[in-house]
Amino acid sequence: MSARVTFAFIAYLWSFFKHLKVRQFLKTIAGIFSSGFELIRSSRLAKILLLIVFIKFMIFYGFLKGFLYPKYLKPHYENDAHRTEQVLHDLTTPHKIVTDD
Amino acid sequence: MELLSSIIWLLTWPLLIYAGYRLSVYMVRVFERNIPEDQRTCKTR
Amino acid sequence: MIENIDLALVNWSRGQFALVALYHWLFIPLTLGMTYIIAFTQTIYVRTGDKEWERIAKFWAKLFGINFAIGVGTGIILGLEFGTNWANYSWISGDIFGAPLAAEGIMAFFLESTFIAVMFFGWGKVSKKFHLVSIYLVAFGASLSALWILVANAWMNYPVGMVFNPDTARHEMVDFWAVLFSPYAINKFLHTITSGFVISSFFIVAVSGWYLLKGRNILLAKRSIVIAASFGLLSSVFLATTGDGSAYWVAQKQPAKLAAMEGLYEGQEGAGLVAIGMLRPGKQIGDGEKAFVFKIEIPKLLSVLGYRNANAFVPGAEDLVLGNAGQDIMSADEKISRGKVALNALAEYKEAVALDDMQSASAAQARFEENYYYMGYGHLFDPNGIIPNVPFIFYSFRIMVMLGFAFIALFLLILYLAVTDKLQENRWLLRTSILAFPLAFLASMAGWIVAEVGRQPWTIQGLLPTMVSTSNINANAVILTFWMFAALLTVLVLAEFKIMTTTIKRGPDNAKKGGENV
Repeated sequence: MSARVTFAFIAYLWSFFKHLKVRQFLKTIAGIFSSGFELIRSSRLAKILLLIVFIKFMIFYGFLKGFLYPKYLKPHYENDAHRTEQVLHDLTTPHKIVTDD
Repeated sequence: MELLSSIIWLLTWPLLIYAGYRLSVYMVRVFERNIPEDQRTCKTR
Repeated sequence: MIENIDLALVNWSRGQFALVALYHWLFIPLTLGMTYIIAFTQTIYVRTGDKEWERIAKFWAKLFGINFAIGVGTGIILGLEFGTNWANYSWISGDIFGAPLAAEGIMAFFLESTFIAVMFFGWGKVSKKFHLVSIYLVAFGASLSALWILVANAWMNYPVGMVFNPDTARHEMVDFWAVLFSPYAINKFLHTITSGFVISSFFIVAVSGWYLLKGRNILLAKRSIVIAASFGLLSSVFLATTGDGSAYWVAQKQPAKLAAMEGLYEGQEGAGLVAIGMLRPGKQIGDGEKAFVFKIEIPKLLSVLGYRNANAFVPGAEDLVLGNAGQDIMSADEKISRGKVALNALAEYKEAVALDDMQSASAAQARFEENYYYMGYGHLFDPNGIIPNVPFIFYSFRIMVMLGFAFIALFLLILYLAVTDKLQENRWLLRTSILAFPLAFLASMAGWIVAEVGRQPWTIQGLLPTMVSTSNINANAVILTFWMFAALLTVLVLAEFKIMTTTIKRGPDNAKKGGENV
């Protein structure tokens, strides 16, 4: 059942592509890209949004994921065996709660 | 059985979208009966 | 040896995750719902050739684009937090939790990211039909992303399809389909995406209502309201249905959450649903005091919703904590002692394996497996701790449900007046529809509070408490990053608000002042 639905879906998608020749297809892709560049070039809003996306990803991937987390925040485990040992220790050792008070 | 009922229940998602579209189109038709003719959707096809 | 648990670390880690998740959720509903509404308007354009419908689709696509650009990637922080603040949880459930998250990344990347470029830049560059299909693929891609995330989330509430490997201290997936098609997951998914559809519909109704109040872009506003109110009405009815499904599964799998949602301390046969009520402040489990200062109850409804049987017994918080032999409910104390047996068996297994004593290891493993389902209870100190914060959950649940039903009525009224073209004469309703947009977010946030705070004290229901899920890091690092994320995400939300309002004021034709009247 699911294979038939998947096949029908692929056939439906293919029906849009099959009439396109490769050259025409590449031209369409180039058209989408040039339209994107044109929009960014002519629209102030698009420039602002692009800038926000750029800054955001610089912070998320560059600063947080690339620098801050691995260097200062991420718990350090030498390997999976070490991590298993730590987790088993935390699971099997009796606890008591401490507060700052 | 639980799995099958879940799959059937999941299929209500695309059904909801289709029903949403049909209801929207029906309501647009009702709406257009109540507005001036020059504002109605022109059928160019 | 006794290990210390730093409560500040646990609470700040929870607070940080809640903060980022709630900010993330400010962007997601519009992505989930607006795409379908844009697709509907574009479909009408493709079928009729009326350019005004394309103009409507383009305008909402522009607002969708702003929301998408500012919101995209805010979920990355949540992913990072699993590794930093929740290292124990990540390791214990990584094999199961990681698979849906990876699938989400692939779905989001291939469907949304690929076709969103065609959606935004393909107007007039590709055939109308292919462009339309791209919009639908973006819409379905966004919903599919939500499906994977919610499958992971639902597994935490109702863990299925896995076994615990004591050698690696990890849950390993043994039945992918049971995880994917868990009834809890499917209900959660349907309930969550339809809430996104309702919020998106209100967004479009609110913006269009503002145009009608200002006498601008009138035809665009009227047509948009008809489409959004139709979709919103259908979605809000479906939202109530899926809410019923969610309540049913909560009753089956998380009775403590249900007891908190209903402020039910003493279990009853044929329990009623509290429509409106005020909890008695300071009420404690087993103190013999009444739970409510006042309440209006619908008889038998809770039993019907929870168990599909008007006379079914619904356990209250006291039954779950103190136990109820008549209803075959084990006390929390008994669960805690069984949990301790499981954890001791796990420790013995570890020692026996280290000493290569396979006979003792196998005996310990058998004892562990026998008591595995109570493993999480072994970490708890106080039996009362198995009940989440009752007033918080009770009132959040009422806010969500009351607003949810009010939205059905509101959509019905808006739709009726929209199709009869009487909306402009009812300016109070236009103002109410603008107010309904933030209220829809409030209802949605209240729903998340019921779902997530209601799961406490667990990260994985019954198996892993929140306090053991955290990392061995300094609480100050979590506090510092909490404020960092709060500042960063607040700036993003303010940027979204500013850019959105400016674009809405300018209207579809990018006019600096005014705009056309039809």
